Amino acid sequence: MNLLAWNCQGLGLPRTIHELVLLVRAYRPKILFISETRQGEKKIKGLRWRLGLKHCMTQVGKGKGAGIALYWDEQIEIKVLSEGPRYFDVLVNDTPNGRKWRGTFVYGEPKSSERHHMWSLLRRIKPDTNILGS
Amino acid sequence: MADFRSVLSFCNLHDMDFAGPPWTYDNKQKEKRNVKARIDRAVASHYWSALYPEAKLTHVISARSDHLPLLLELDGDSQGNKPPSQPRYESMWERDPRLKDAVEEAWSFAPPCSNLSDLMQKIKSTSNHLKDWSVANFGHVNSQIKSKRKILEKLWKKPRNDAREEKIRMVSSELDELLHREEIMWRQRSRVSWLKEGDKNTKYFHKKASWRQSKNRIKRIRGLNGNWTDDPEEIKSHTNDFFRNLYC
Repeated sequence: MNLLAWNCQGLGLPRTIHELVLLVRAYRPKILFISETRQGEKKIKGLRWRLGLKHCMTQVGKGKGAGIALYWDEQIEIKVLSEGPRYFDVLVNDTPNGRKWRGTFVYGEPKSSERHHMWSLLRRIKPDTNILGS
Repeated sequence: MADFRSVLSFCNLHDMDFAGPPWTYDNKQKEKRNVKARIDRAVASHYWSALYPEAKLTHVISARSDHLPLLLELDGDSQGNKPPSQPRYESMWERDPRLKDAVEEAWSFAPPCSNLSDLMQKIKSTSNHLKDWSVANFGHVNSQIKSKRKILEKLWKKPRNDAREEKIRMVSSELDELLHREEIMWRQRSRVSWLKEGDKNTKYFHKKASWRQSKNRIKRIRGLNGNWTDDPEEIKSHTNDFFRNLYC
């Protein structure tokens, strides 16, 4: 099973979407984490079919460096433990071989003055595995 | 950064090893203003690492965005673990008249040799050179065929005149040559020797070739102690041991 995480800096341009589709086709991730989506829920949901990852969740943010999305394959079971504008904390059940683990997908705070929120959040939820962006 | 480290140690997480470029962020500015940093990371607990001991993290190259995508492969046996392919002589190269010069140049590149191991080195370097030559001058046959087809399609849509007919004839003959090369390529891979070139039976060769590929692959092996193993590292060492015992 593969995971892919990418800070795509906006999923608005067709070229970026095309690149994402190519990446997904090349590496066949079962879980895909995108940060800085800068798109509404409708557009994010619509991408599921092109990516071939039938499930998704998203946090739509405001401003330039905002929005995160998580896509996953039907074969994988995902249980959401908690989520916020900058993170998803989920339980992953890798069903074919039955391994369960907790994954936390985080998009870090770009402003250093605001970063202490992130650190206290991470201390609070105490993740097992996480993929960080920025 | 210090805060980040303290959070990691607080949560008992460690930074994972990675392959690929040593940065994940490049602001794409020139010279002095260029900043490259590894600000996208995957970190794991010991529990998780024990769950997926084969997990492999790669910084994937991408032309879009200032950030590189991170690829995390949980099971080692996916595409990344294939042994690098050996450069081989392609019989389709013979369709190119420049091949002779390329071989001569590649051969004279390595110093003259006096013993067998030097000779082996020389052959190796020659085939490496030919591989580079092929990438630079020969290109990828499949994608070339696709692009020629597209050009041809576009040409057909244009209004009819002499210039167009001339162009179509030219592109068609180029496409024909490419198809011929593709056929040679698959024929070589399928090891079917009873057919002369010129049949364009590519699908059949392709089938044969993929069968051969799967047949050639060693999925598991029985060691000298009589136990089966499918671990690629163990397969390697068993093979080495066997032939060493045989000849030493």
